[in-house]
Amino acid sequence: MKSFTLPTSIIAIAALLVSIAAARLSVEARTGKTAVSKRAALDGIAQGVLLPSYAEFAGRCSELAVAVDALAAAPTAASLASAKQAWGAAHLAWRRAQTFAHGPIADLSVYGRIQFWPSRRQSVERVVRAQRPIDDDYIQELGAGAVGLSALEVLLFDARKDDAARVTSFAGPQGERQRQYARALARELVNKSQLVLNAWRGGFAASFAAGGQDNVNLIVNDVLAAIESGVQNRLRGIIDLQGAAAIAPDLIEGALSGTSQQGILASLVGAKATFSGGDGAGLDDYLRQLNAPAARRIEAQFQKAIAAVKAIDGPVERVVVANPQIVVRAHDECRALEIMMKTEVVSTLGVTLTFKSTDGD
Amino acid sequence: MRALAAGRASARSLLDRLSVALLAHPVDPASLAAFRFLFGLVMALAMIRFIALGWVDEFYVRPAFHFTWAPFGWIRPLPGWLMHLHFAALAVCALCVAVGFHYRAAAALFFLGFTYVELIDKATYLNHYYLVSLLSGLLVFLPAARLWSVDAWRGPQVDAAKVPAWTINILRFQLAVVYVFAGLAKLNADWLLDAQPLGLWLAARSDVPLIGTMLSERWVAYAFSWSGALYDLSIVFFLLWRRTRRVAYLTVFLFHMMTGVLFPIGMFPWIMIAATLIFFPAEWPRRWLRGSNVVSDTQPVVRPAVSTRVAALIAAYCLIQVLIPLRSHWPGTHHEWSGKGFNFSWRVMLVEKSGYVEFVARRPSAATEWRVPVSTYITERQERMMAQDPEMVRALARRIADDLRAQGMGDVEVRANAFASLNGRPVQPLVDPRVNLAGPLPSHWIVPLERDSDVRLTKFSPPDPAPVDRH
Repeated sequence: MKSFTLPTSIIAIAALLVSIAAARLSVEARTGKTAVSKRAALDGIAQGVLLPSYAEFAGRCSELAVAVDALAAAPTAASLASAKQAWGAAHLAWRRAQTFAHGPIADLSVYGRIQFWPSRRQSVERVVRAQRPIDDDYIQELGAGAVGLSALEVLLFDARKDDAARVTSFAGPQGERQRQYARALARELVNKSQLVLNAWRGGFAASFAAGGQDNVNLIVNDVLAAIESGVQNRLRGIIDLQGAAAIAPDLIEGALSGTSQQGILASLVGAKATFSGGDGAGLDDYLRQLNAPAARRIEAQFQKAIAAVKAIDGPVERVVVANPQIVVRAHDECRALEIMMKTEVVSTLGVTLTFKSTDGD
Repeated sequence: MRALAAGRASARSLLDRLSVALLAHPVDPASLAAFRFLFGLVMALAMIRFIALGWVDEFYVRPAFHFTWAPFGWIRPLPGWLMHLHFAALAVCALCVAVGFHYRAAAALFFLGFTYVELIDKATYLNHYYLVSLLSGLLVFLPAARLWSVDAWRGPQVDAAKVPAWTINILRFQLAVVYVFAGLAKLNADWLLDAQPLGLWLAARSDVPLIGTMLSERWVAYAFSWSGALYDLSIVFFLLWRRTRRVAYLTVFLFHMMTGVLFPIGMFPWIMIAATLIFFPAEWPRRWLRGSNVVSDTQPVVRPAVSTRVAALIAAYCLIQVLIPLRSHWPGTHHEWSGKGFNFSWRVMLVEKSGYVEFVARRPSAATEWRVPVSTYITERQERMMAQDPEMVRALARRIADDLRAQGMGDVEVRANAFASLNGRPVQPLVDPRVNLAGPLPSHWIVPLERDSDVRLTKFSPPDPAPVDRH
């Protein structure tokens, strides 16, 4: 019986370890992954998601302006319904596009003027009651609480009136000021959304990919902000409020228009698209290249969170009263997604976290 | 019996010869002087860099809470401007060490001042800062200013042609400990079988010019991991062997330059590039500085003596330096996950860990609980470091509880929803969210690292969100 010497044993162990490592490497090679560089991922996000999102939002704003003009020209139940529908489409387009809060939208100081929440009903009513003629200069001077989608929501969906009363508020000489205000708000939305779109088309989208790791950091932080602030905290807030005798619609984003669930879903879908680059290359592909199991887990968790929010199936403030568990489940799935993003994605992509909303509680 | 006695005598003779060769043998003090100069210079630059980058404020002045080390909980940072002054003084001390001006006092002050800074906050711990403390502590006892120093120039009585070999060998030993234990720590499944965390770090540098695309290749991560482990385990041997020393030092230079370019490891490459010159023969600087006289062994010198007490102290120091990192190889816990035994063990570049923590305070008597914001206590950087270390999570929980108790909430409990991901693994709970971290801890308060990733994935479920009382 031949005994093993120390050098032989060391060589045998080393050979075994090399074999295991080589086997793992060959398994990875057989998975058929497509190489996606950081640059390609960023370019895919800019050209495949962000630019089309801003284009869609600008288009929806134009449709909203047309609908508001029609309402102002002939206030009827039909024109009001049409304006409300156009508002809803613009709002959801914005919620899908709003994930990336940097670039032209920040540089041009447009973000808060498109939608500021919580909405300031008193500010809107003050403008309606004021004497100064409503023109573009006046709108520019107003604070974020009295402009943008939220202000228009107050005018179109005033919770204290039924549709007939809302139509009346736009009609006749007494409705002149409200008509002017609504048209000016819609016009400003068109201008601002076009301004942002032009900046993206004018070279920002093309240069985005060159931002490298800095832009990866921005994307991941903004996706996290959308998941945490735009989705999870919104759900959390409604869950916390469910004990109140009556949930004030002003405290819930989209409650006036009955779009709270659709808005939250749009934010989540927008966050996913911003991360994954939609159908094209995105950070999910880049992540898959670095850590395939983590990429699979993130994708699965996104799907679970989206399915859980879809399952709410109605305004969240109403569903939470009848079936709180379904809202709690959606919150928990989004929270799990947030934690996965903050640990696995941050760790794999080498992201420096700058966003956190926990201190805002 | 006679053979036994002869064997004993032979062993004793060998031991004597070995102790003379390693401890008492007279050697040229030139390499010690070069070490002093380079170390002092690098440290002065490091202190200036610390001030210039705003780290004094960020690390020591701004945080309201510091994660102190267990036996040194009483150590506190100085008030703002004094902390800046302290770092300026450290830079001056380092320069004094470099030029050998009041050398021993300067080395002692630098050692004490730097170690004080390192003991303020666990969140600033780095292996190479620990190495700086050890090397500066050793310098206090080494006759490194006997040559090419202001002290030697001002007082010829401190000059001497030779120093005992232990004064150089102890520095070699210290560096050998770093490399060898760093190599041993890399003999683990993550490093060798999954090429992690290097696989993640290298791929994240895919935008580096020229070599970037190659860095995201998995085989490159494996090549770096395996060669890195072999390098750490063998470099000391090649530095000690005369025939390979020059090539080995060239690889030291290239290796540390490359890691310095690829990874954010600050002054570490420069410290190691400067320090490993100590492996060259003691007279190497004289060969570099043409014109200086090479002290040959034929010159008459006073043979330095090494007392038994000094030899015992050296042996004790070496033993401690081996035992401390050895504790991190004790089985039973995953040191990178639990943090136990991780620090002071030269477990270098083994961890890519990201965490998430939120604290929940609860008053059983009032049946209320609420999330506690941490930004009033710690900075974002401290938060990132805390989220990786259960002991730091516990430390802040205790502080939060102390503060709430001081506000009259005597029965308050503080729990943490803490999650982390290690080396690309799925995220999992780091500490048990049911445990009141402000009270006595059960033995299982740190959740063990799951071994089966599929199990981890299906088992992962965040705890119920705490109902939030908005105060």
